Amino acid sequence: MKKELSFALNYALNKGFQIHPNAFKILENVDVKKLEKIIKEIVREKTKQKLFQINQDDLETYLGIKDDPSLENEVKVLLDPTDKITTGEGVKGYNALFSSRFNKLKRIISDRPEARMLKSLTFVKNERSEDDMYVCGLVTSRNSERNVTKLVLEDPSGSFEGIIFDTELQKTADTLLVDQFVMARVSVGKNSGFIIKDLIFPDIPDQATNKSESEAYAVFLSDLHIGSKYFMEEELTEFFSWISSPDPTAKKIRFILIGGDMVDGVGIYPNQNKELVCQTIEEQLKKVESLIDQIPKNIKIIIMPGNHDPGRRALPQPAIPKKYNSGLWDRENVIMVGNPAVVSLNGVKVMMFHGQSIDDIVKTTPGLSYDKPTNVMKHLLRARHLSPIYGSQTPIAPEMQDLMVIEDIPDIFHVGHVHKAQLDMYKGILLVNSGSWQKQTPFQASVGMTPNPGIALLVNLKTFQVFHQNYNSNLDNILQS
Amino acid sequence: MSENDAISRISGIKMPDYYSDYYSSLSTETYNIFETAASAKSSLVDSSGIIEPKIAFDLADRVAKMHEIDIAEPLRELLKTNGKELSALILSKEIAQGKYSLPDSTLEEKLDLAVRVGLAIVTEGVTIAPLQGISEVKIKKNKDGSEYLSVSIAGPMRSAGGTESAVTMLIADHVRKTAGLSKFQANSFDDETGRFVEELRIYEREASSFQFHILDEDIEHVISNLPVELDGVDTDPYEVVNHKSMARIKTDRVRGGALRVLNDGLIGRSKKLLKRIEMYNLDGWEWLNDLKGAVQTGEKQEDAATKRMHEVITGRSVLSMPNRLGGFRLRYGRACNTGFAAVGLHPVVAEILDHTIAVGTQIKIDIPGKGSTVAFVDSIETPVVRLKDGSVVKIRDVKHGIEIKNDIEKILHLGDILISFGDFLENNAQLVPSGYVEEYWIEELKQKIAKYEPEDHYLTRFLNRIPTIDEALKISIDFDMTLHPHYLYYWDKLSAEELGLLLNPKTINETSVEYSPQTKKILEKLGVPHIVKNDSIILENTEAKIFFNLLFREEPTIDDSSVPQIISKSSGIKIRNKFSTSIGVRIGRPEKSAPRQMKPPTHVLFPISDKGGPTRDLLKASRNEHFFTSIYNRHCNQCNIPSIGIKCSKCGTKTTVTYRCPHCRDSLEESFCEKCKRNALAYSHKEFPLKSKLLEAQEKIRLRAQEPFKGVKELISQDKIAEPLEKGLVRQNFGLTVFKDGTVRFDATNSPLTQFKPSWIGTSVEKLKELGYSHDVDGIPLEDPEQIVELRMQDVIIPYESGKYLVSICKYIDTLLEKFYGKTSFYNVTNSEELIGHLIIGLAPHTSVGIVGRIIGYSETHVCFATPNWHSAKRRDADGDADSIMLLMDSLLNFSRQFLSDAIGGLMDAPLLVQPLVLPHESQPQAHNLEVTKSLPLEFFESTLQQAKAPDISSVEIIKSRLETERQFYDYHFTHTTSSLTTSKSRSAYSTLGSMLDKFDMQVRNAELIDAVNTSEIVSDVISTHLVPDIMGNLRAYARQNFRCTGCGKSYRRMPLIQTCVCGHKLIPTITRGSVEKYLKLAKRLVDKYDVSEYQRGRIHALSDEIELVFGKSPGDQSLLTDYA
Repeated sequence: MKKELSFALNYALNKGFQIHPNAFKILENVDVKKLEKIIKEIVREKTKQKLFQINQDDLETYLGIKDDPSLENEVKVLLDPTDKITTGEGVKGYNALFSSRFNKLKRIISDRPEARMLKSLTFVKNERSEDDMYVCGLVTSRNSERNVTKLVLEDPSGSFEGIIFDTELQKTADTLLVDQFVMARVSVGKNSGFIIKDLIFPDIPDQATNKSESEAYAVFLSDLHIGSKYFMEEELTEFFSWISSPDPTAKKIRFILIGGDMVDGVGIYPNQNKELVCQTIEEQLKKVESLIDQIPKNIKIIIMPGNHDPGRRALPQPAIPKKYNSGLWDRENVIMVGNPAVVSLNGVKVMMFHGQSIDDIVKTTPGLSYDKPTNVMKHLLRARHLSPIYGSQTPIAPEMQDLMVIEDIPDIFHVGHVHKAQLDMYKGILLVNSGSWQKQTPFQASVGMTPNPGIALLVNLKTFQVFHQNYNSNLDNILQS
Repeated sequence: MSENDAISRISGIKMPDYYSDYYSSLSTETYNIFETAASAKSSLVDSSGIIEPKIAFDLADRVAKMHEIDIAEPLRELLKTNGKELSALILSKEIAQGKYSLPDSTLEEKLDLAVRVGLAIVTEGVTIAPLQGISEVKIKKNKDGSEYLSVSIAGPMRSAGGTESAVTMLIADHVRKTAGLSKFQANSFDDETGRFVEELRIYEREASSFQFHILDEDIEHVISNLPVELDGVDTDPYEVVNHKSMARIKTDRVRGGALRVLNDGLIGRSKKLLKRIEMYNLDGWEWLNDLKGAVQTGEKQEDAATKRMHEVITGRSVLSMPNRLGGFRLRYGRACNTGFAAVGLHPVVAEILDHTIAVGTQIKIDIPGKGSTVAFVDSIETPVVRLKDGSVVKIRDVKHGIEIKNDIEKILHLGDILISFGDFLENNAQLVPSGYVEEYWIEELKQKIAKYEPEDHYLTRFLNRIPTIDEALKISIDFDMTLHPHYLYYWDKLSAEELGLLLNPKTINETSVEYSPQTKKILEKLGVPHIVKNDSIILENTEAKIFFNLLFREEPTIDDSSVPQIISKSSGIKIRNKFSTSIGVRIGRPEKSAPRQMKPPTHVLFPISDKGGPTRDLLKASRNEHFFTSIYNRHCNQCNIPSIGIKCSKCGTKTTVTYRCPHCRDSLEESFCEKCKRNALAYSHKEFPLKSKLLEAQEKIRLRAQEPFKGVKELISQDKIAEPLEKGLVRQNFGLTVFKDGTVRFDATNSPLTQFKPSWIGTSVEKLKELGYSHDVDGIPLEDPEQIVELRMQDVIIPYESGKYLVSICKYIDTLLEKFYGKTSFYNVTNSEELIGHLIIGLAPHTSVGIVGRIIGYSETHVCFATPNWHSAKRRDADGDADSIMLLMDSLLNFSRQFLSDAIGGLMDAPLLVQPLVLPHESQPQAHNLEVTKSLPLEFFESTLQQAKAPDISSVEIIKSRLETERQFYDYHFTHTTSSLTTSKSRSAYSTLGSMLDKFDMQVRNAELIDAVNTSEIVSDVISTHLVPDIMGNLRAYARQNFRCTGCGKSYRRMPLIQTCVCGHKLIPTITRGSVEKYLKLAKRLVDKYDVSEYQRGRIHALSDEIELVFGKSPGDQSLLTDYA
């Protein structure tokens, strides 16, 4: 018998415990380094319950080997771009992409009563009717000068410029993202131009939320940046060992979602090699594997790529390719998805998106900032599109259909990218920005970005109650009101 | 101008008689050309009736002429006593008070002029910043009703430089006080400080970068304290988000000019400004002291040099890495063709490197910094090379180099790089210890002779010739002199162990030393020539003798001292350090000499929109039955047809100009529509009888237009004034094209030259005598083409190619004079020889003053040789840039400001002013830092060992010390001779090789040939500075690309939903798979072949994978993407 095992046995026996032979078999197979900790904690727990026999059941529960029949861990991937990516080239691809965007969103907005009165832009331009008319299209440009806002819209029939005089409506127009879909009520002005009188966003209708039958918990993580000098390895390891602990909350965790930027990548920004601990993608992913192995096997882990992960950077992104690390693909409890993805966790729909488009949106929309990413997420939901702006920082690949349209309404919207953990609600949807596990980088410091890393957000999928485990930051501002 | 103007300008300045003759002849000739041009212009057949460039002699003249204000004399007087900074302040105050304005001008107009003239004086009246960098100066009201001054800055303020641009605000404040206006009150309407912070950050992120990085709090501090408003016009299409529609800021876009004044001027140069404020005695600017200060972007200074060396550009070779034995050894001194940012290399280097460099090639060097051009000097140390048979040879001369070129396996030592002391001085650099060079030895010898052996004829002879090895050894032993550098090896780079190995040869005697192959590396390091025979390394003759005397007469005792010390001690022959440091050299831009052409090339500035097809052919356009174009409303009422010339080309009567109001469409005689209260336009879109006009022009000139006879799409000028078609016909006939301002130009890289031999420039001694060159540098009458002659201040030696081009321009001008203007021809030049003695002007692209020069000869190079003073008058040094050359007559006759755009920056690179005379004391300070000594004194060499700062050295004579004396004009001595200016090829390989791959190939070949260059490092640098950014940039850009119409060329930010252009044509992508993958194969091959880091290798492979994920494995391949492993 190994000396650690005999120590563990003696420890329990001395405390007045009996050990069932089946439990002993399990102990024999436990990692010797963890034995002491396990036995001490089980003894402490059972002493509280005043039960002095250690059974197979106790160990299985503690080690997470046992499936608690009341806690399901059912994952269904509802949307994954990985095998939908068709790489339409250039003109053909972009034609298909934007018509798909227009058509999908027109279908979404057709639930609105006004949609019955929709006319094509060319029709409206030729008709010059005296009544108000409804049009819809993608925003080509938005321009405010002095006291007028000019908006150019286009649909498959052509394009059209409208002017907004109303100051309240101008504020709404300011929140329009370029290339997003919008419906407008227009009329012919005195000076033969068109006046926009109302703007109607696709938005989210009121509806009931899906809930999990059992009280399974999901953990929301992103932006680990493994391989970077600034990755908070100690803190994450501590969190993972908490997950394996007999803590009642930890024991209910059945899902971990990683929303992109799992590794720091290679060649993502200039002179990155000076800030890397692991110089190659393969090395970085090996490290990921060893960290993932600290998580109990009954927890399903969903991994989505971000702009730092290998693969391609243009949206939508396929899952991290198998060739870099087949270990992750081969693990039974790991599910690799692309960006964006929709997964159902015991029936609760979670839309995962890394959040690259936040950069472009913050830059062009008044009142938005990196400090409040959930406000940007609301804009995305209102536009029913995850990355509308084309031609700015975020690359958007020419695909035969627009996979970035929010067709299915999620129950939880999970985004990362900006390293700012934050929670909010919008029309019944729980908004989660999962922060990061990377300390402030010199780049972030130079542009005045202060992340709040080291916060793990947990959601009870039955009650939608939110918990957090904090390993570093102060918690100011996590909750948006 | 009048001739007397010119004469009076030089009277009173001390100069030799031949120089006053020279200047008067230049003035007379300029005057002649001016008169001829003026008389031609007065025929009124051209589109303008006067000569537009103005003659300006000096700073005062330039400022006065550029701003059309009569201040030349008073300014000249002020400048004599006050210097330009104070003069600017005094004069702008006087202008503000209305001293030079018409009685009816408003205060606003006076203040506007005052600020502009002040800035013009500070910037010496050469840049266009005062004209176009200041958009407007206005009096505005604060919220409390008090009046303040506002200065609006535009983009071209950049040409003024950081400090000067900020001084604009000081001058504005000064005149504000004079006018009794209140201070500007920031933030009284909106959050203006916040606007500046937001705007500046957006500008940095989206538009362009600044020299400095500044803090938000400094921005707030400056804007809230500025006594005058800093406003600006928008420069880039980026909008602020949070500070829009502000009461006092008219635009929501970023105002680049104003931001630059704030960032690089007020904050970046706050220390320098404080000095100015003290000098000006201004109050109300104390708050500048409280700034936290700016940080130079691009990290630490010393890193900057290393960083520069790592910015390897694909295809541009690295020749030598910094501080590495075998690289170019620093040699102090100047030859007649170096200095003023030109450095000397031995011509044989160009020969053995397959002409990777040529005269005028720009190189970047790490000491004393910045860019330089290559010149060839053959009196410096030659390279040492290893041949394919293993033997090591020191190349004797160019001929020897060419002979052995194909046998060279490795260049072990590149030889010297000659850098002038003046360049160290100009860059405020620290001196680097000099190696023990021949000049050093001679100075020591002089000292020895003076001190101990004044009568010794034996020693004096070696002041002028290199001693033989026996003599050298004798001098060293008998007179306690250091061993002559000619016989010196790099002993200083040897370790004691390596010396130990050398002490055990196979055989020794005074004529041959034989070593085993193990010592080869050491001998190569030393730079000792040897041969390899039957597994032995043999040193013969001189080398054997040196080794015998230094190492084997007396056995050296190896101890802790350095190798030279050990050898000196044992042999009794003093040995000094041969190496100093090596200079990092990498190639920048290739030399340039080519006709300046518009894109696409154009024969005549006449607008035909798209009617001439893709070649913009006027003949094709003229075949349209009704030809319409947007053009100036000049009309002959007699013949009732549009006219280009002031006089109708048909009937000869004077034509009239009408204006059309864009609103009521009325035809007016005034440029202002009283009815609509708006400006009327001087041009309109109307029918133009192009066909008959063309026929008429061809008849007049008696030349037939050839297809394609190229015009422009549209005119860029405000009034859309076109050129007479005749000019285009003549240009086409002589194979010339026009530049946008109506001139015909030739560009050539600048190169300095202070002396020449007639044989170098292809001009006969007789001709030179005619031009006033009567004596050589030693005062001996000029008879032999091999005599060395000092180059006159404004004489230039241009490429042969340029000469031929100018001959065509002469013929073009003569034809115009005769057939178009109806005068007599002027040049009557048939070949380039006859062109000698004619006047040109030189013009640098960022300025607007043309400097008169005289052609005295040609060289088989791609550079324009002239004195540093002449280049300096153009505001240039020889750091690798090219300036334009124009025939003086062409600029007077054909240049018109009316052709140029009114848009900001439109006046740059136009000869608005012509400066006929270049006087050395009026040059830029850089030209005054040129050393003009015959030899560098011993004191200088010793101070290099102390690593003194160049400005602390007073032992080297520079021009500055001769100013105001007669000798500022002549006796610009040099320290190193050269027997030729050029090599066997005038054009560097870079400009002759076709594809980037060929160029890169050459770069790798050079790296492998040169011992002082590490190939893997080069490959790695090329990958990270060029290949990766290219692939990555295009890959990123692919998924956010624009689309372009195949028909009309309109560009779309994204594919429109109608899927075609509005004109109905197809749209095409601007970035394709091909452009993304251009360098992928090369990059993959390189990371596999060379020893680059894992990180880099990983990067390339990741990019390659990403490309497959974006485009698919091959076109059409739709296989499962994640399975491709």
